[in-house]
Amino acid sequence: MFTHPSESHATTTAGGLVGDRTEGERMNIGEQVRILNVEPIVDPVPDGDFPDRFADVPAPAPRPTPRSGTADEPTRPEPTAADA
Amino acid sequence: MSEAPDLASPVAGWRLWHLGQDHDGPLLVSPLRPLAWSPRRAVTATCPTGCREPPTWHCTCGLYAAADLDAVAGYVGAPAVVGCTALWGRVVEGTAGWRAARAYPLVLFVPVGDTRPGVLDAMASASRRAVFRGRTGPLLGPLGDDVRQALGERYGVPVHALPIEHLGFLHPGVGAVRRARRRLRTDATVAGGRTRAVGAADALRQEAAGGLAARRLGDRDAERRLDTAVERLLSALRPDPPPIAV
Repeated sequence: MFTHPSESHATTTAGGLVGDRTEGERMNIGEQVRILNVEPIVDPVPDGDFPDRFADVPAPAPRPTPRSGTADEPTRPEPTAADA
Repeated sequence: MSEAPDLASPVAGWRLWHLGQDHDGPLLVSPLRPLAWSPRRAVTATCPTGCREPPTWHCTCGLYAAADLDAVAGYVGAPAVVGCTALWGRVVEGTAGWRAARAYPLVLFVPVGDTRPGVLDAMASASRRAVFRGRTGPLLGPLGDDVRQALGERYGVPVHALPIEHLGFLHPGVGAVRRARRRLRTDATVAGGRTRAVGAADALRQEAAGGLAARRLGDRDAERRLDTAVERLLSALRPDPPPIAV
């Protein structure tokens, strides 16, 4: 009869034997050191990336300058009495 | 606004799975609870206590993996599929492992070549307990090349055969393996730390994660480096390695 050694541990501690509540298993990862934000440049899941398909990004728009016609030409605000 | 990432390659760690199956083939399952690792889909951690973004610092939720293959051995209660898994997203780093928000296996090792009675029964029992709790369904037969090939095709990761007599860490109850395990412990004491097998496992773990992008881009050298790391690990796990020719 095989018994998982962690089954006898009901309590968990941050630095000792910790439990994987997601999976219900126990694994000792030691004392917690830090939290990392890991964003792999490629998806670890096979077929997660599609090299033959371009990324779905919006078409490049011309730089919004006053003379390119893509932006409204700025107008000088009318001076008010408070500016005087 | 999201925070800047700390790492651009996944963290890799060692862990174990039991082997179940569904209608489409073999399935990796977490050892104690029926959490199936779906093929070609990242596993995402959830927290029953309500953490919004598991894993959190003060909770114990998340998907676990150990830094050392040796550390995994203490948590094996039955023959199991061992492998290296990628961890990413929010990752809580410990001194001996990690727990993360997302995971997917990188390299798997399936025990093969064991015809002794009891070992496969234990595997089937553990899988049944994990996967088919409250359900009915057939279990896979003896582990072998068929299972290895099926796992590889289904999960899209390299799956290697691990001869049962090489499982120095994973089957402490087997006589030959018990001797190998004792020898490894002795080596560790003499060396004052890591054994050769643990070092090879560490190299494989780092290559599996660090070379992921290159392998995905078709870099043959990166694939060769991973294969070499696997061969070195299997050689280091061999109970009676041949003497090194000088």
